[in-house]
Amino acid sequence: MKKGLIIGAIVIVVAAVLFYLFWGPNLDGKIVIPYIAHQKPRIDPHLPSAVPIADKMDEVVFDGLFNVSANPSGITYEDGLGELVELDANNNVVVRLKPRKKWHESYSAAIEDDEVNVSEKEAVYFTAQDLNFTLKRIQRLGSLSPDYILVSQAVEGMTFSGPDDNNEIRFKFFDDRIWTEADIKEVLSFKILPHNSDINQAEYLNGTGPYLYTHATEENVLNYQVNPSGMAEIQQLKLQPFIDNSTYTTELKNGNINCLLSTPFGSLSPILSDSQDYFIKSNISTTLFAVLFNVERLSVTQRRELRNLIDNKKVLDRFYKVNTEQQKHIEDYKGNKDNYNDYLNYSIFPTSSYYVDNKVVIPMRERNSPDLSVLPDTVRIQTCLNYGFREELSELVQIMNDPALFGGKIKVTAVQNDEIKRGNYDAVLIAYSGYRSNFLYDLYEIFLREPDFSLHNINLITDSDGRGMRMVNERSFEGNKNFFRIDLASDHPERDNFVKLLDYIYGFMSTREVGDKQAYAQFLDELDQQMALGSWMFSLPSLAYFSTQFDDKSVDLYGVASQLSTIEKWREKVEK
Amino acid sequence: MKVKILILLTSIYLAGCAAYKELKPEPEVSSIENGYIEIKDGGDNFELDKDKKYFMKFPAPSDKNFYLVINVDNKDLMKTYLTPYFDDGKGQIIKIEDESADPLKTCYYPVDNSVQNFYWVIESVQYDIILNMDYRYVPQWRYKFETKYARLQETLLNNTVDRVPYNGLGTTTKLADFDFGNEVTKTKEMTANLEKVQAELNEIESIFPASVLNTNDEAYQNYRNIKKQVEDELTFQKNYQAFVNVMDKEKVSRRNTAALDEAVPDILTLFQNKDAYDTNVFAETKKTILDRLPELVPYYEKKIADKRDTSPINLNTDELEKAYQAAGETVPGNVAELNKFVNNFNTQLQNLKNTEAELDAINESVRNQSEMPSNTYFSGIITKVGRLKYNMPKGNSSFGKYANYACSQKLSSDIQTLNYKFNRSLDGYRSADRIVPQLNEYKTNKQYSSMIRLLKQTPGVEFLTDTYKSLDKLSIDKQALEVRTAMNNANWAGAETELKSLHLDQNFLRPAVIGSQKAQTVKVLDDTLSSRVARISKQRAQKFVADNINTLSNVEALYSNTAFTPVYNRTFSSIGQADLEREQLVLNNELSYLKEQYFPSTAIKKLYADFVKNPDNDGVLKARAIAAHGDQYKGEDKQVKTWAAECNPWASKWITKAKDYRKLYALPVNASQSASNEYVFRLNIRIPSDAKFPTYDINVKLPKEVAKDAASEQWYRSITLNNDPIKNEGYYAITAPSASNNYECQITPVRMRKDEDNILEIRFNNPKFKVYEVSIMAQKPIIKKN
Repeated sequence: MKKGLIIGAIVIVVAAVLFYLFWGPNLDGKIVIPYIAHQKPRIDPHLPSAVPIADKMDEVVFDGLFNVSANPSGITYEDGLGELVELDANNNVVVRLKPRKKWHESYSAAIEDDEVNVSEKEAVYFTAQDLNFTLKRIQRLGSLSPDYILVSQAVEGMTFSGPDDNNEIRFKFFDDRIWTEADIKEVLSFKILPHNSDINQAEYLNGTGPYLYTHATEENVLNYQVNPSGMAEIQQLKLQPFIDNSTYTTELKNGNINCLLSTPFGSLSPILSDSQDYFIKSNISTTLFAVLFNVERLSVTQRRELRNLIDNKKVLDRFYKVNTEQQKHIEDYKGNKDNYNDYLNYSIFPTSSYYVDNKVVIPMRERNSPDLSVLPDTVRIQTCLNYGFREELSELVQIMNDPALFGGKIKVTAVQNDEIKRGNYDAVLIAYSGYRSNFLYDLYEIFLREPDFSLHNINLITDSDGRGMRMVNERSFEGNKNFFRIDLASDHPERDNFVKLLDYIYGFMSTREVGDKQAYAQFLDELDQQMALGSWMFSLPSLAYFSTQFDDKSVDLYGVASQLSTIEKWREKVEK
Repeated sequence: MKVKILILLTSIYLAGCAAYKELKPEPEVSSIENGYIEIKDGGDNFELDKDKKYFMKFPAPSDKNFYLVINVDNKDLMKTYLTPYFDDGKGQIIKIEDESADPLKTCYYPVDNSVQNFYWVIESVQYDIILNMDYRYVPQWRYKFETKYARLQETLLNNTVDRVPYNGLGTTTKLADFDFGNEVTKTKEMTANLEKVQAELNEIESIFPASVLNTNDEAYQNYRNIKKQVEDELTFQKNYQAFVNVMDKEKVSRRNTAALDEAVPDILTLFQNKDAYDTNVFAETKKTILDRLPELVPYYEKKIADKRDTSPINLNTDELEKAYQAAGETVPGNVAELNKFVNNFNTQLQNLKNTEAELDAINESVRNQSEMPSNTYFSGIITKVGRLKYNMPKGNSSFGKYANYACSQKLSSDIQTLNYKFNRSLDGYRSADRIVPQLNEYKTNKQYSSMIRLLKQTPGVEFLTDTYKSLDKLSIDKQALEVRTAMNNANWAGAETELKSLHLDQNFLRPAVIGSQKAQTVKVLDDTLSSRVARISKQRAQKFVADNINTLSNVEALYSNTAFTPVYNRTFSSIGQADLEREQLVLNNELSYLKEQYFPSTAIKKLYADFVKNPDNDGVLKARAIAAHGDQYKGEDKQVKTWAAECNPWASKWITKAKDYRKLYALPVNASQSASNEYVFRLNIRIPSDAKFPTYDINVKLPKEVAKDAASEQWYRSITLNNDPIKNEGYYAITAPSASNNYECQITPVRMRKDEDNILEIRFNNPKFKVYEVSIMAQKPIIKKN
């Protein structure tokens, strides 16, 4: 009997192995990346998205005149829709537009089962008209778009002349510096949309990039096929939907995905530790967790004491279960391991950012003992687990509700998005993803995003100052249009500071001067230290796992550049 | 022909216009000695016009010493002269003196036969006059004698002594009849007058022509007669004067022995000349004188008794004794005894003085002996001195009754003193004789100090000090030579020891004299030693520098070389410890300068010039050598420091200006060539900026060799800013170099700490072991999305 059971088990295992081998997932020729099912990425190459994969997909679908890429030595700029012809002594930049570049709409895709056949149809070529449309769109978006800062700081009038008979156009760059090739190509790396696009589409899919969007399956698998006129090696790119990120590592382990651009907790996964199967790439943090205080519910005194109460170090240690058997290990791009404290934030500007790292902003790290008497009996903090980072937020809810940590003074509740929208909280716990640690750290995302995780609306209202410049309108701070519930329409005792805050935010975001940015960063930090608008908690390590299906040398992830900016170069490992 | 006639007429005219008119007497003037001859113009006298000029030729006489005597009326109305040369008043006129004292008529001119003619020139005539004139040629002696003869005769007559009283002395006259005082005076005057006559006669005799001698010429015979008369009278007057003189002195010296003593020599002369006097005269004289002489001995003895010194006795005792003898009288005993003492005293005194002089001369000669004496020198001196001593005068033992006189005692004392002097000299010379051989042996061995010591230790040879005075200098010179020899042999310690010995040496014959010279020598040697030590030290260091300026390996060790220390550290100097230390400090400073400034700066300049000329030629080694020199350089030359820093991979190269490419060298830091050499270069970015947070793009232009494979392999190993790594995975953007961007890498944003050092370090590896040139440029960044 016993012998029979053993034999039976062996038969089952063998059958399972055979089933996996023959009918299990086969990701050859595919790049499969997970996404949160109800956060379908909507691609707008000129605006930041709340969904991290959406911004990364900009590099997949679109080209700029020059494309940012990378090699082992760093960032490279490769010809996209243009070719740099000349930089003359007067800083005139001549770019020849590539006349044979086709828009994705020049191809049609025939889908049969899981097979996609891309065929050419009437070619729609890239023209200077497309470039002109794109520049006008960026100009209209203004400070909402990082590309606006990028281009306006360099190109006079954000326009160009031409093209001439050689299809060459001419930009006049400002004369205030020596323009290197890298600078020029960086400035002209904004993604170009076809001129027949609407200026405010919900998403943009028609690009010229290495992969063209073909279709979405019933399971909301988003399929992209290699651009026949492109250089990408791997034929297919799939964005695979999952309920949340809690199963991402398992899915990778099970071979359902082969590229995990961020792991839960940003930590090393014990189940993915086999370097024969996986390799990792780490880069600078792009996600932080913060508790944003509701100024309608908490006075400045209460907010200060609440900030004193929330000990981010304690939370972080719990978060990673430091010094326990379940400790989550981390490793950063510098090779540092388990350097959790490096991720603690003390300012609007994360510690990893240029501003803090270079001491432009010197956050006040010391916390006073909280005066709990000024706080409500229970500080009610809400969060929503349905829009990413479910694993991390769930863990944080549990940690912060632990009486042993905050004496039961804090009550964190996971609520639905609608509850958040109503603003019925003393504070809200959010994850802010996709932030850049360089000059273009995005404060709109923190202060002007509507408190609706299902949308990504930035409530920036600007007016003309009558002299051709834009100025921020106070209506940008409406109570139900930001997580802090700041409302300049109300007669709030801190109104002056709110006005100042809005002014600083807009100044920081709209300036194209590095010096101004640094000054505004200081002002904002100082103002935040005074106003205690939130508890800035910590950032998440950025760690990506790749299946060794890919040649790790072909995958270069650099800094704040999109993790997919080099996707064109990715190649599968050749078995020896 | 016409021309000739014209010339002739002109000549005649000019002749007629001559300034002086010649008077041509008829008969012609004759130079024969023939009395006075009138000058006539035929039968008439010449007529002279007022204010006209004339001359007349007179032929030369037949012999020398003639007078041309001219008697002319109205001599005072004319200005005339006689000249041996005349050319119508032209040229220099030599006027022959008119020796005549007559202003109115006579002229006489000395003429001779040395020219053919003399010219009597009438220079001016006050009135028209008739020339009444005669002339005569006459020998000068005759003319002079003829003109003086009468006067001479008269003088002789007036100055002849009346001999009658004199000749009758003792018979017709007595001595008392004579007024000797008056006679003395008178006779002296007469003799003087006669001597003048005699002089005039002698003068005339000197111009006697030979032809007149021994002739019966009347004038000549007159001359001889008067001359003899004068001589006879003068001879008489001489003896007569001696007689009256003595007798006058005898008379006036009565009761005055001192005056009589003064007359003793005259008495002796008279007595000795007794034959010149008649017997009666001499007898009277002798008797009178001899009566007076005995009073002289007591007078002399009194003088001698009063004498206290040892000067010679200067009394007429000898003349007195001889006077007795000349008078034919027996010399009285007291006279003879006195005279003997005086002579003995004076002789011994003279002997004493001579002996002392000789001893002094010997001693002087010994003292003045410039050459150091031979071994036998002093035995000769001893002999000479001994002999001299032997002949010393005997002193008062031979003075008889005058032995106790003070002068005799004094003389004896002087003799004794001299005797002591002899003994001292002899003692010294004997000592000298004893040590000279030893001295000479020392001298042969140049043991001058030993010689000095021996001389100083030997008593009584102080007289050798001058002779051996050169020893002091020889000793100094020898010691100085030893110092110099040691210095020449670079035996600095030996030189210093010898110098110290010389400085402390007090063994000299004349330390006070030689002291300053020794001090000067010590000072010179001290200076020389110092300067030599300094010079050799510096030369050694300079040679070391020159020898190693191109050294490329183990440069650090060069700075530990002893070439940069003094060849000798002195412990003694005559100038004192404090000054010595100052001196050594100066030298050490100079050597430090050579070590810490000159060597590194010179080497850096040379090597850097070579280095930049061709960095591929041992560039790494040169750069390392330059850097090593730079580590040692303590000067202030910014260029040198800059070059050294340029070659030192660990030294930060300053970027102080934005938008300016700056070249620098990337150098391997591994010891030697390997498969993967590690290169480093560092930048210190300190660009003046008003910004509070100055931030820059750093653009690095790389050599193709370094960056050509950047696309497939990270070209750098690390990039750090202030030791913090810069990585592309962070917020920094590091662009990859490529052919399309001319291998330029950009690092941004690089935020500088304001007014602080900002060290950007880049390391990379490369299989080649060489120098790479890199260009760096910083500028304000743009805001980048990626």
